[in-house]
Amino acid sequence: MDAAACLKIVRDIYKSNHFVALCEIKIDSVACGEATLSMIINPEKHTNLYGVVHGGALEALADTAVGVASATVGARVMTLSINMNFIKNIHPGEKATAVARVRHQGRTTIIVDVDTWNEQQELMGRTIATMFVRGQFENIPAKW
Amino acid sequence: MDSKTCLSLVRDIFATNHFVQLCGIIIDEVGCGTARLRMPIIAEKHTNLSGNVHGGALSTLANTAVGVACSSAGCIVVTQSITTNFIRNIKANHTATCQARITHLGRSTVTVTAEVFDDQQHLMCQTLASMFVKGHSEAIPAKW
Repeated sequence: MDAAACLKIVRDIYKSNHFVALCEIKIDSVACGEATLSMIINPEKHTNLYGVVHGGALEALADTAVGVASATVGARVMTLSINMNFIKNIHPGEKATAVARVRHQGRTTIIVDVDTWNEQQELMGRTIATMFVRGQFENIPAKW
Repeated sequence: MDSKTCLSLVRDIFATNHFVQLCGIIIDEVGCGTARLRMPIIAEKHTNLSGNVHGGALSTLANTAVGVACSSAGCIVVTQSITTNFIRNIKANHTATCQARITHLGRSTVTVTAEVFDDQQHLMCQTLASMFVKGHSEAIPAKW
């Protein structure tokens, strides 16, 4: 399996994910155990009362990146626990990029961390998630 | 200040919150330092590939409830760190209800817990958040 083939499969899987579509989250690239996703901040959608991104929107981006990173190792997962530290925020028109990495791949749980960056490569948020392995994606191997 | 006046003030504050509107989150009730919010689950909006609610949507509900609870004690806050444990999930056409409560009201940080329940009062997720106090509302006192 190469990155382009995996990216295509993962994008197909996430096509039917309504909340991901609603938040306008895009899958940019994948590697084995890694995923980069981005979300361009829409002033009509993602902002809170201060005109910056709602924490929930950044969590949705991070949580989705965790799911995609897990999918790149063939794991069909659900979130058991997720912790996010918020460091910086951005304004509409700017892009938030989440880079997720699988740190532990067990039989029943997967641990993934995510760094969320702004366009200036400044750290916006740091996330760590524990995922429960519900099953496998048959067309993606655990190692490639 | 009574609950009704506070509810009206808090609803006004959150009316300009685009991401909260996008997710269809409704503020039902506030007390001093407590808040109850609900999010009716719509298939085309909140669901993930398994037809359940996306973790990011539930995180958003919890994160918003935490913010509302802080508002009810006159605090203008931003999220520093938030942890959510997911226990149970629901399908579309059900409603997730979130109850948030301030556990510590400090000068510069507020800690809040939130619990999300399904229609049958089953616990769906548990959240613990640490909020940074940016300022204080002139309209809502810290104690009432």
